[in-house]
Order: sequence, then structure tokens, then C-alpha cells
Amino acid sequence: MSGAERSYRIALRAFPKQYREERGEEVIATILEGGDGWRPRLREFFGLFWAGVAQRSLMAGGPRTAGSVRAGVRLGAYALFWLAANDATATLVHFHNHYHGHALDVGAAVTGFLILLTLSRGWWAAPIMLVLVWELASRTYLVSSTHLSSGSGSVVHLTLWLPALFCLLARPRKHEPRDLRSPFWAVAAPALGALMGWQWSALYTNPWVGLAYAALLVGWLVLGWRDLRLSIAIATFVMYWGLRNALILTAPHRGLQVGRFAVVELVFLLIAVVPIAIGLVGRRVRA
Amino acid sequence: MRAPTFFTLAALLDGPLHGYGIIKRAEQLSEGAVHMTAGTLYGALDRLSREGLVIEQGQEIVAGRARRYYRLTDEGHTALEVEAERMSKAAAVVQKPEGVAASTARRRPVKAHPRPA
Repeated sequence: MSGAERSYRIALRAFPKQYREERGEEVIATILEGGDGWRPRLREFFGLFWAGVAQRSLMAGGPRTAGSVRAGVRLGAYALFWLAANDATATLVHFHNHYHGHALDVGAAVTGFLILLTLSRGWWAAPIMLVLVWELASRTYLVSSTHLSSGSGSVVHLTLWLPALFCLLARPRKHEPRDLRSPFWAVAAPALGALMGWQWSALYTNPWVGLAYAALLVGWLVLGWRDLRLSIAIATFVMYWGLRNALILTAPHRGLQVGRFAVVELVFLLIAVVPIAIGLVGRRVRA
Repeated sequence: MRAPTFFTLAALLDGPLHGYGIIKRAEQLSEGAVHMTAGTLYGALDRLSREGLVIEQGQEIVAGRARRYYRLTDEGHTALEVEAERMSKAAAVVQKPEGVAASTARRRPVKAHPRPA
């Protein structure tokens, strides 16, 4: 085997195994037919690698939806629900650890989980009803409470309303697959949220936080290649913390502690966003 | 339709070709403008196969490796003709500027604005 062929076979690893078994030899033969067989061409190498990543992304997403706009809206719904679910779980953990939270946070967390669970069953209209109930209950609580300002609940209200509306927009048509039905969502969202809550209490001083990031990376490598949703989840997770860190970074006495985590988050963001972008391009091409 | 896709289809007009044959023929037809990598080619072939525009037609073993041949389907012929027609019309618009001016003039009748005395 020549050096060129060895290089191309490395790039070929970017393709899914099934594809490699079916077409790998043919692809290699086509490339070698056009070169001198000894020196790998960078253009071919990266072209092959990129095509492999795109192919993985296409095969991971399952059946495609009809239009890129709907796919984009659905991605938005995914991202916002992850944000809401993670935020809600973090609130619960933080509340449990420090008992500084209040009933409103817990209510938001419970509503967030109920929304996630109904979505995991494929009930797309349920979120808006749950948010309505939550809104009525929380407003009643705020009116009867003497020590809470109405502004304290506005953020969690927005966090729940926005994804619920997105959810209605992204509701699949009759013959379209319901991607959110996977139980993966119901398990992974609280897990990530708990991680966030734990990290929040650790305040970047716990060395296990680094291992948690490593675990996410391994999860992405194992599942993310085949499951676009994990990439989306990680992107959301990273964006959430990235934003929070960016705010903390502006404070001079905290900047150095947080800065190195911002770099790690940037790496995570890149590896998570690339498959999403490829997935969207794939959707647009196929639409 | 993007250029690599168009020239992949066009390369198969004269009959079935294998992967490298398609790359060379597309390069020849486009006068060197389109030089596809294998990654681009197989991405395009997969997509065109899914859309029913291209179909596999047999394979042979050369130097121990499979070499598949691809050919245009009837739908592929039609899609290529439609795209060529579209491109031809688009080119005609640019190549005949008087045509553009005439059609613009027809859509926007010039109103007379008498200058104040």
C-alpha cells in the first residue's frame, strides 16, 4: 500500500462504516486512478474527509424534512428546549444545595421537565398548554406573595414561553417523523442540567469539572457523530456557559479563573456547530 | 443545480462511465473549469441516485478493486435538458442587452414630465 493510499484511507475513516464497506474501495480506486499513487494530494484528502463528515451527518439525521426553514425552526426549538431544560435542572440542583431559590424557580423547573416529557412522547401541542397553566399558577402566586417582585419571574416565563411557541411552529406535519420522541432527550437533558448545577456550585474550583467536560467530549465522539441531537445539546450547553462566562469575564477579579474554561468552551462549540451546519446544508440540498 | 452536479449529469450523456471517467469527462466538458475531487463526485452521485437521476449499471474488478459504472435515467435526461434550457435562457438575457432594455421599457412606460416654464 502506497503512502498516498494510506493517507486516503485515513480520510476515508470520516465516512460511516456502512458507507465505507459499500463504497470505500471504489472511492479509493477513483482517487488513485487520477494521481501518481505515491504522493497524497491535499485537495483530495480534505475533500474526502469533508465529504465523509457530511455523509455521517446526512446518515445521522434520519429521514429529512421538507424545507430548510422548517428544519431551521426545529433546530431553534431543540436549542431553546435544551436551554430551558438545562436551566430548570440547574435551578433545581442549586435550590436543593443552597436553599436560596424560591418556589417560582421550582415551579419553572417542574414545568420545564413536563414540557420535555410531553415532547418526548410526541405531543407537540402540550407545551403551550403547560405554559398557560404555569403562567396562571405563577401569577397567582406572585399576586399573593409579599416578598417577591414581579420582575423576578419574568426571565423564567420568557424561557418557557419562547420554546413553547417555537414548538408550535416546528410541529411536524402528519407524515413527518417526530425527532423529539426519542427518550434520549428525557434522560440527557436532566443529566446535563445537573452537571451545570453541580458546576455552578463548584465555581470552577473543582478538578472534576474538567473531567465532566472530557465526558461530554467522549459522549460527542461516541454518539455525536451519529446523533445530531447531542451536538445540538452540547452547542446549547456551551453557548449557555459561554455567555455566562463572558459576563463573568468582564469582572476583573474573576477573569483569570474563567478564561481557560472559555477556551475549552470554544473548542466544544466548534466541534458541535460544524455537524449542525453540515446537517442544515444537507437538508437544504435535499429539499 | 450546482456546476459539479450539472457536469456530472452531462458527463453521462454519452453513456455509462465509472467514477474517474466522470471526473475526467466533466473536466473536459467544462474546459477545465470543473475539477471534482472524489469526495465531491461521490456526494453528487449519492444525491443524484437518491433523486432517481442516475443509476448504477454494473461493475467490474480492476486491479482487485470494484469499479462501478453509472448511467443517466430518463428522469436524469429530462432534468439535464430542463437545466440546460434554463441556463440558455439566462445566458440569452445577458448576451442580448437590447432584449433586456426592450422588456424593461415595456414594463415601465415612460411618463412625460413637462418641465415648468
